[in-house]
Amino acid sequence: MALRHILHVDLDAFFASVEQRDNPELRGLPVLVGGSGGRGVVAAASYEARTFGVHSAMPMSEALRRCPKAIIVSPTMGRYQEASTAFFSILEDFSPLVEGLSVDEAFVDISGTERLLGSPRDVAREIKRRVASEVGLIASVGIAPTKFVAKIASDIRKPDGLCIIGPTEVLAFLHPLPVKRLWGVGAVAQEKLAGMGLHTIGDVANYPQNILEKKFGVAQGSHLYALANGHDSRSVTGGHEAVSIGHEQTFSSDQSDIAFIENVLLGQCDKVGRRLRRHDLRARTAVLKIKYADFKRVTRRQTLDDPTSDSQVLFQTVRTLLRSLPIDSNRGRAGRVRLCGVSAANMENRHGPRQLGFHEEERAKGERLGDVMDKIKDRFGDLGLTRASHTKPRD
Amino acid sequence: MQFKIKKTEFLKGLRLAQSIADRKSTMPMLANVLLKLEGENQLLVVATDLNVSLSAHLQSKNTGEGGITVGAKALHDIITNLPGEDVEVKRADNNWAEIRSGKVKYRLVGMPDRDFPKVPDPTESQFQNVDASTLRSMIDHTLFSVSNDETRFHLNGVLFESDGDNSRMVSTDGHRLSKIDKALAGGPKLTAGVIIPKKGLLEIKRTLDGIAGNCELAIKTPFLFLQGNDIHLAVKLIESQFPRYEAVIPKNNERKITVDRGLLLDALKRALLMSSETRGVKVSLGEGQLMISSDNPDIGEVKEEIEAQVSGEEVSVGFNPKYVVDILSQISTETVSVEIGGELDPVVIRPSGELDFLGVVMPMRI
Repeated sequence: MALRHILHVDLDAFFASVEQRDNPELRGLPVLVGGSGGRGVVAAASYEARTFGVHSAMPMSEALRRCPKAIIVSPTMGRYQEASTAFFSILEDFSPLVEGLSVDEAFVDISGTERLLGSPRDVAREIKRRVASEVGLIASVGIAPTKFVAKIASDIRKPDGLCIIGPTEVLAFLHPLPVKRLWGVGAVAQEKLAGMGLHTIGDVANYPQNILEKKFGVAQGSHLYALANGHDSRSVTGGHEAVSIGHEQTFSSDQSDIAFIENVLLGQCDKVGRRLRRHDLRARTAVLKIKYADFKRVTRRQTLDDPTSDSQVLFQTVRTLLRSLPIDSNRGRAGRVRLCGVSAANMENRHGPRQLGFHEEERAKGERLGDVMDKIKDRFGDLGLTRASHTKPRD
Repeated sequence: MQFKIKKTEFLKGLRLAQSIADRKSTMPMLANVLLKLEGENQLLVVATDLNVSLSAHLQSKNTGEGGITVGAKALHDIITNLPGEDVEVKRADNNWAEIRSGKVKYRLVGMPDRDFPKVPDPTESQFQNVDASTLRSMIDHTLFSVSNDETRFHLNGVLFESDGDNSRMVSTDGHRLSKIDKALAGGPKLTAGVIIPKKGLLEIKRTLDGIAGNCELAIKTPFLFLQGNDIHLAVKLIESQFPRYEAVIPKNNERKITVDRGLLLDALKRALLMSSETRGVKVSLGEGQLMISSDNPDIGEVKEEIEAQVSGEEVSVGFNPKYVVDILSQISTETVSVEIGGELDPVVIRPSGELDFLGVVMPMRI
């Protein structure tokens, strides 16, 4: 099998970082997210809190004993979900093979994209840069030929880590690590391995496989042996049928300028259209999402007569939806916009049966234009072809 | 301010008012209905969503003067469920409305009548008497192919053309088109067609339901006014250009089929069981017959042959069956004529021997 480049991307102290991002007064302070009641558990701890030995899943009472000055914040799932969606849509710009492990971590297989996107290191840097600028969070990335090693690599240099393990470095990287780093090794197995004198992954790798299989059973024994020797053939299984494709963005300052918001929407429609075309889909429904500065959320959807993958049609639709909403600087926070997003839903295969229209030529032209723009971007990168309204004046 | 009114009389206005009032608007007042006393014996009931406005002049016995507004849906539902024949409504302090009937007493939260928006005034328009059932039939024949895609607002209504003797309605959603011509004596003399929005047409239909014989119609852009049975309707027209529809109606489709309307309709409905609007059914021309088939990898397949007079070469055309069913449902003749060009060309369907109605459907690429 050809060499694979698998990224494991993980958001650092996810819930706590979202809280610190949205509440500047929490920055630099030990923050614990979780229930504060007697039975509360730490859902996430900021790095400031971790220096006191606090970690997630720890009882809140224990965490407070170790770090009495910690500030407890109740979880606000809506905002985490929003950040998670934005995080995943960035990853999906780099590869169709994105496998989410939870809200804040995913594998991305970028094998074979070098000519398109540059070296794995460049891709990792670009992902980190975009997550920072578009979501306002820090991601750690591990790159390796296998999922198992990539996951360890992302963890090893946290926070804000970037760790690349080349195919020849895998064993040297793995072997000094303690056995508990192996997938499937919990407290019980760890104790059992220690009893056999096996403390590091290297110890396991050099142990006879047949004895491991006898002690742990064939399945687990061979699994441990394979992992310890750097073998992990599991592939990144992304692309379970997407229900919707979307992009959204939180502005750096609240906006009431319709032209500005429309310009952001245009860029988002370009991205949504591109992803629809990449996955050979058409969408029957276009959805506009707006969040006001007072955190009121509004979603407006429009079912189209003609399912489309044409960014321009998506844009015209969400623009019409936007103009029906009250956006006005005179209405205070209720009239200023904090976030806008576009998504496409109700998808169908682009090569499936299609209802023709009276003006079929015109419609087909829009989608063909999209295909041509995709080809140019694939070849020359996103900046190879940019809308004039998205260019910045040169300094 | 206080009035007495018969329940049936009150509901005549409220039924239409509650369907027009807009509960989803950002202007809360639009969810309300205005009740205003006019002299001693008339109650004015007004509802509007700013595009469609209704004024009903109802018989009542009034005391005092002024008006009040209350939630249209709530008031309609309350009056519908009252036990007696007579209803009494009184404005109390802070714009509360007290409603009594027999031993039932309701109190409803209201808003002051002075905040209710002004509705278009038809007094300077020239009304003409036209046949209500003809107008209604024309709406039925075209309403189904109006586009619901709000970004294409020029297609969100029916084009109405009228020269004083004859009139025409056309609608299209870009996939299909329907067109009907009728003699409409006394109709408005229009230099250009106007586009009547879908919601307006639905309310016009409801209003026409209560009218036997003639109604009064006037068009004074940007409004259409309709009067009859004490109801006044004002519909804001869509100010846009309707597409040049003549260009998409094929004139010379070489394949001509005559088929029993009921047979075709039933066969399509059966095929629909194995299909969906997004998958389509296939209609194939054979000698003396049509073959209608549909297959769906998830469910199964169906084939049916029906007798037909067919002239022209064999061809298979895919359709969204619902589009064809919609057109056939508006036809009452025993047989229909279907004119087909190539497999990707628009198809014309019309009642055999009648030229006033036709439907055009674009095929599906299956």
